[in-house]
Amino acid sequence: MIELKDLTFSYTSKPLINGVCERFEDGTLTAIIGENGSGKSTLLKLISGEEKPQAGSVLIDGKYMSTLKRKDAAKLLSGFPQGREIPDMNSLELVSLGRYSYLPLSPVTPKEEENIALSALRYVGAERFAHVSLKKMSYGERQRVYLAMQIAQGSQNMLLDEPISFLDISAQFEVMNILTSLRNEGKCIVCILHDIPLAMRYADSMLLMKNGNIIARGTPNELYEGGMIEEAFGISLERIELGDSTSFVPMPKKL
Amino acid sequence: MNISQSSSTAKFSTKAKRAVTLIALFLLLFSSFFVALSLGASDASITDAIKAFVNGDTASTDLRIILHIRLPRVLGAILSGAALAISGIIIQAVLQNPMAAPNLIGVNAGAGFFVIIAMAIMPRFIGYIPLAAFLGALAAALLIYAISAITGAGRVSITLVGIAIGSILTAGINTVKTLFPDSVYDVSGFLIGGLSSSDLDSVIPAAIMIIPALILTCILSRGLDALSLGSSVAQGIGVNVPRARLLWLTLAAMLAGAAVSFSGLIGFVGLIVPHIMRRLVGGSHRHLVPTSILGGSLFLLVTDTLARTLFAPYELPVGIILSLLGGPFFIFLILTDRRAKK
Repeated sequence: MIELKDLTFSYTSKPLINGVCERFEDGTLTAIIGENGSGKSTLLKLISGEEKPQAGSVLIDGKYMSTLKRKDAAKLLSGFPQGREIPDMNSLELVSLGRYSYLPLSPVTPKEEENIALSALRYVGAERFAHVSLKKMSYGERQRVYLAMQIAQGSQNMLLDEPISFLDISAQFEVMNILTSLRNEGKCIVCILHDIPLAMRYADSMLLMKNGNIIARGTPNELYEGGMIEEAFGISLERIELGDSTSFVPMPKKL
Repeated sequence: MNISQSSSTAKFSTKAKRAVTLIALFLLLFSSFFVALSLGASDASITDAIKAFVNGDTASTDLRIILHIRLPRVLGAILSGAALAISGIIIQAVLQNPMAAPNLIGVNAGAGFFVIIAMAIMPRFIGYIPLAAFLGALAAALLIYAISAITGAGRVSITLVGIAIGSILTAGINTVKTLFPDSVYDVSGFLIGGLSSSDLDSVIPAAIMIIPALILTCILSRGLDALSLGSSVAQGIGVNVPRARLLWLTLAAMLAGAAVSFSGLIGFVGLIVPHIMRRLVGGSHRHLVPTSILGGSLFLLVTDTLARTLFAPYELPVGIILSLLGGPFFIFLILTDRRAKK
């Protein structure tokens, strides 16, 4: 569980994140949506501790983030922003590094830790890349291996910054299904998503941000019925019922 | 089925390649050690020296030449090569810049500047020289790190900053030399870098810094893997990034400083060796560090032996050979880096 209390942050004198109070429960998948520059990534960086808030605090499983050592924080919360390096190692070596906070001071990775890394690779369907160099893999394949690294970390709370961007559509569904099954295992999952239809299909709860503020919070249906997404993005949104599944389709605003 | 087969072949072939590389480097280093001991200006032979040693004939010329002239030099080359290669690997991981190396970013020059000052102020306390070298290297490393952290300078610009700092420090070295001509001699030899003045008195204090630092780097190598993922990811998996960077830069400064204290401003070992070893065993530091210790030792031992035998009885400082190799190598790296970005 992640709690944010009066979180305030700015890069300049103008506050970017202004007094945000939120709570992300275990066993829920929360999607953060909002236009570019609305403060989504900054909010994630504040939760992960990469940026320090000017005021307010972040609690992970009831513990103040600012008082935790990095190693202990990593055992409760996993997640890193986009823009990752392509390290010169193979997938298994990278995923094993997800176990960093549990590993002893020795160059050798213990067998049981390596098995956790291997099963994380299996979880995301990337076992076949275990001994393949990341430099020889496609962007989407690497993305998946980084997700495995995060799963290997084994933290109860997971942050993801656009986990499906630049993936082809089948891979997008696969990644969202992986996140759903992690949610079903009781994890608290918070992810930034740009794809609104996909976010509305998979998320239990949605957070709509604009200019550093959370302007709406609720289930996809609640947000649709309140018309907040249409207003925030300046689009029009249709709900389509097909059998027992509900889809949302964004369209250009009607003039 | 095919895919899992190819994966297990990949597993086997990288494992085999790593093992073969390590064994081959070890055997080459082992044999080069004896070849280097038996080559030299005089015709002293190892077998005669060993015979003299067994017979307790300490007055034997062969034994004395090998024990007091060639052995310190060979050990110096091995230690300095390993230290500079590993220092390069650490700096590359911390700055996330494969084109950084202790000489290129001014770390060697920082060590050199402090060494020259120590020699000028306290000419009789030669034992403090490795310490002065370490402090100078650390100061330069922290300066470069601060500049790269503040400006977010890219790969090529950070080496440009390093070159600028290096030339300022070299000017400082020359100033001290001009002001204290009596206590500071052979500065040009020091600036080029060479092992001709290696003796046990200068190699042993350096070894006391180099060997523990190398062992620590091997034990903590996973930390370098974590840092090479970038600060955000490293922090996400539980690394205290500022503390880790400080620890690693201190180790890099110990290694480069100790090497500079007796071998002068030898350049490019920390650039060339890690690059070749990455090609052979990959970038995972668990494999890269031990391989580069052997590779760096072998590389400097071979080039130094060539330097002192190629034009016998004249001797080239090994620094000249390394600059002749390293300069083009660096240009080659810049060219391939540009191409990789496009």
